[in-house]
Amino acid sequence: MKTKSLLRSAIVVLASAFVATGCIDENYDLSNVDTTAELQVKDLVLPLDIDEIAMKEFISIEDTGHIQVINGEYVLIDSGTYTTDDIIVPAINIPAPSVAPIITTIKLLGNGNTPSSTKALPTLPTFPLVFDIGRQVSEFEYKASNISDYIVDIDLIGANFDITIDLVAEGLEKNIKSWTLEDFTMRLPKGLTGETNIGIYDPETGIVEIGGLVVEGTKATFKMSITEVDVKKAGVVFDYDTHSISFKDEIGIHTGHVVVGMSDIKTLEGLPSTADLKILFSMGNINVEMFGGTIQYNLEGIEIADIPITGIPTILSQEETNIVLVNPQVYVCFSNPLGTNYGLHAQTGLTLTAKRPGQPDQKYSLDNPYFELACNGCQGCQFCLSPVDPGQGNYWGKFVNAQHIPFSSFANILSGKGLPRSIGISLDNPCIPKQKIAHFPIGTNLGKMSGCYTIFAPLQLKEGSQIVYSSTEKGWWNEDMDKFSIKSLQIEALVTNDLPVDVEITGYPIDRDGNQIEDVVIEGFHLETGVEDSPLHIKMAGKIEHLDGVVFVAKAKATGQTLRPDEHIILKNLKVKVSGSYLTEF
Amino acid sequence: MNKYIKTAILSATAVLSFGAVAQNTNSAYFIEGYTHRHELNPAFGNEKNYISIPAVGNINAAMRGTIGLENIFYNVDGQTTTFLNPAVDASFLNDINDLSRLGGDMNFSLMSAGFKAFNGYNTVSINVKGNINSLIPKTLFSFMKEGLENKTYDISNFDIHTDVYGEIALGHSHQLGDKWRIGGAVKFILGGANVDARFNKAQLTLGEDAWSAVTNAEIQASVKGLNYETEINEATNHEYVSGMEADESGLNGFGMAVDLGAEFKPNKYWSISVALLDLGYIKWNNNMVASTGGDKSFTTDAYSFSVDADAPNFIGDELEKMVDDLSAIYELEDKGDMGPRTTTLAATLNIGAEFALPVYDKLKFGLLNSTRFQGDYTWTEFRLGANINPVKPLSLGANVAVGTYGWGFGWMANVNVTGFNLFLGMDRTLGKLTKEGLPLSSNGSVNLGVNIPF
Repeated sequence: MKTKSLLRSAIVVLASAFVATGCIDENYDLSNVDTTAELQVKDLVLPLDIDEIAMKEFISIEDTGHIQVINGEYVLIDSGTYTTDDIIVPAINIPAPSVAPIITTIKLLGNGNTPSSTKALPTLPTFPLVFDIGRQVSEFEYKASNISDYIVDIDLIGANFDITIDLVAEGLEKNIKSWTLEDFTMRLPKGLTGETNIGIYDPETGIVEIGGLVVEGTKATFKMSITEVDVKKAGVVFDYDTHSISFKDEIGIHTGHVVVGMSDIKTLEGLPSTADLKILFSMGNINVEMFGGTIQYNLEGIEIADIPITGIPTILSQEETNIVLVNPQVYVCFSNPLGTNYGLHAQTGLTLTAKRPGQPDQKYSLDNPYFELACNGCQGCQFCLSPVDPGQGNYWGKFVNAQHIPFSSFANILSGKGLPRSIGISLDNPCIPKQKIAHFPIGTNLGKMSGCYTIFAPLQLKEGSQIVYSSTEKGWWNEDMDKFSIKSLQIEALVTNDLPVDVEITGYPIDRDGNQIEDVVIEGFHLETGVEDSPLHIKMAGKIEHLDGVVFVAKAKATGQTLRPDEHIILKNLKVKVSGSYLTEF
Repeated sequence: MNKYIKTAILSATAVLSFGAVAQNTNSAYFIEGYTHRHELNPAFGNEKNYISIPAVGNINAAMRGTIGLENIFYNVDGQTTTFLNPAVDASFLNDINDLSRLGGDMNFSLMSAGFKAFNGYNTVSINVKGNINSLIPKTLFSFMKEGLENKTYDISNFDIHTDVYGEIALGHSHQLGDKWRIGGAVKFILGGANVDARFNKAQLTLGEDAWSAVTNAEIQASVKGLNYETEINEATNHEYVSGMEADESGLNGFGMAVDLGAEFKPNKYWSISVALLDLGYIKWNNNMVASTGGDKSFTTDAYSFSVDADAPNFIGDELEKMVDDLSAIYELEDKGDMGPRTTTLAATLNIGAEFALPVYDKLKFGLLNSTRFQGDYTWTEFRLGANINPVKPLSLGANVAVGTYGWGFGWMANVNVTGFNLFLGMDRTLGKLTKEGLPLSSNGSVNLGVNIPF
């Protein structure tokens, strides 16, 4: 009994002693552990052995792109041709007018009755019979409208048409076999050029001097085949406003006597005391084939495809890129058949249109509304349209003999919010301006005007040119990135820059909503041109959380040289130093 | 990454929870009537014969380390969290040694008996023993807590070792004259499993000009039916060890060991004793090796980057190649079975001195130095204690210890009457515990047993 009691006591003592050796600490509950973990990064330098970075590695030259390396320089270049529609000035067709005939009575000595008996003796005429015709004229008027706009004024009409005047002594066919017109002149419009079948036409007076004309039978015919009409002399009236033409005058017999001699008589039997002398007119249609005067002509049908802006260096093709080019050039060649054959020069304006999706088009036109495509009759005349004349010997390619045309605004063609998606080229009002022409065929296809163009824009950023480059690198955010909290990010390197630009680099971080993360300081870096192994240091400091990306803003100031593939920004010993932490649960 | 960190933490917790280092309880070294005292020094014999209650005759479980849960877990605003929490200051690293130890032992007696015969005291024991030890470099914690910066992180010597074996021990102690008593035991070792995993090199140098890493790791595993699982690293097209599996179980080796001990009592107050335990070996039947095959290195010097998309070393492609190559340095190659191998047991040297108070000889003071010889896992401790034996059936002892694992407090109580023996003690009291009962320090042990003396 005593032993059992002892054992019982011992067990209690031992159990109590065991329990007493430990005590529960309520602060440690391993069934509910907060596993939040912060992994820190302290000024950790990430060594990146990056090869030399050359400019050509930023500019990807595509075979079909519009950036090419020419003579070691990056050049935005595009070429093409253009042509007009066929040049035709519509013909003028003036229908023949109707001219009223004239009938005059000739008094003969006979009573005019047909001798029916011998008892009634006729009164014998006194030969020769002379009858003064007097001035017998009739009016005519040619009229036409819908004359082409291209015809501004008319001095000369070239057309083939006839004027015919017949004199017919009616009712004397059986009594006379001939008669004579003496002192005979015709009245025609002035200013005609042509040939008459009889007489001599004086274009100054419009009088045809015929003199004496023996007429066999009873009909005499005058005909003039006309080739040209001197509009002023002839009194042709052209109204440009109404695009109409009117040719109004009179024709007929100016002077003349009818003389019938005894020898002209077949028989006196039935000789009437009077006879009708009819004057009949016939004027042909005037189909104008040529004119002289003033012409203008709109050259139509020129379509030049837009130049897509592709192959542009990434650094230049961002939305916020804003570039001013100093002396880009557009070369134009031109072939003008009207100049060659007729001495007519053409003129045109030119507009380049920068086209950006979702933005209004930006138009850039020549300093002057137009420039003359005057080539002195040569084929393939050449022009250089640029802000500044590159100077003889500096014109691009085949355009060695180009004439310079000022185009100041061209420098701004790439300026704006981002580079244009394409550049449109349009010739503004290409035309043959009003010019005097001596002889110009109308109603005839005179061929086409044609030409070529080349945009030649070296990526030459002269002093004062500026690239405002903004690149948004985003899309970094994800659940892991959200756990990062960056305190500072430093980029250090040795940089050599033989690019012709100074670059000022700044930037700021953005969160997943695209908003700038506040209270973060970016220490920008000024990279001068021509430096060699110069320390580069960019630092971003602050509390950067929920990072989704970085907006970099680089402002580059050109120093007046052209970008070349063999120019480099060389980064050596590039080191990225980062401090921050990664907060997660495991 | 999360998976690996979590696995590491949980593994550390599991090791901490496992138990301990001393396979025997040193607090019992000087306890009169402690039935299994012969396991601490084979020269010790009992006054009574005994037989243990099967499976509960002597249970030792201990954990010991220089890093504990209190170094891993913290309370922040009432919430338990880990040292990785940003609210935990990095100053906790001051409490972590350059090379932390963490381990556990267990000694489970299936059967044990002792009897007087052959002019001495004889013992027969069948035990199952196991131990697990690990070395954890401080750099692993500083790497995780202080973060990455430009310096060299040497995580070498991150090693894990474990043994599981059974032993059949036959012991005998013998009195020589009136001052000396000697004893010894022969042990037949039945190998269960042995695994040695060593990160011989794990160096990460984050230089400003280049980063480099060198690894050298090897796993030697002697487990019956063990095979490594392998997969193909698609990045390197290398076959690498991704796990291990054992398709059968059983004994996998045989060995022998001896325990030797002596006790010298120059007078009635003093006693000097010494014991060398587990001096022996195990020959394992197989040795499954997975290895990096020597040093594997990686350096960023070997890579250069180009921003030219057409270049063969375009930055995107080169980074991908670099990551692929980096993955190769932690690939372990299955070397297969390298044949039998022999390992030594972890021997223990105990040296003790005991003094009985002349005015009250039931109160004794003892000083014990115990040293475990186990290569990198070798440890030692000094334990000074007082033991009292007020009545014959009851022995009590208390002690303080200092050594490789720091300071500790131990105690032992033993009740021993004819027909019943119960003892309970601890070499390391538990101190503060988590709500789950795990000691916040990695140190704690318990020794419990019920035997039948006769």
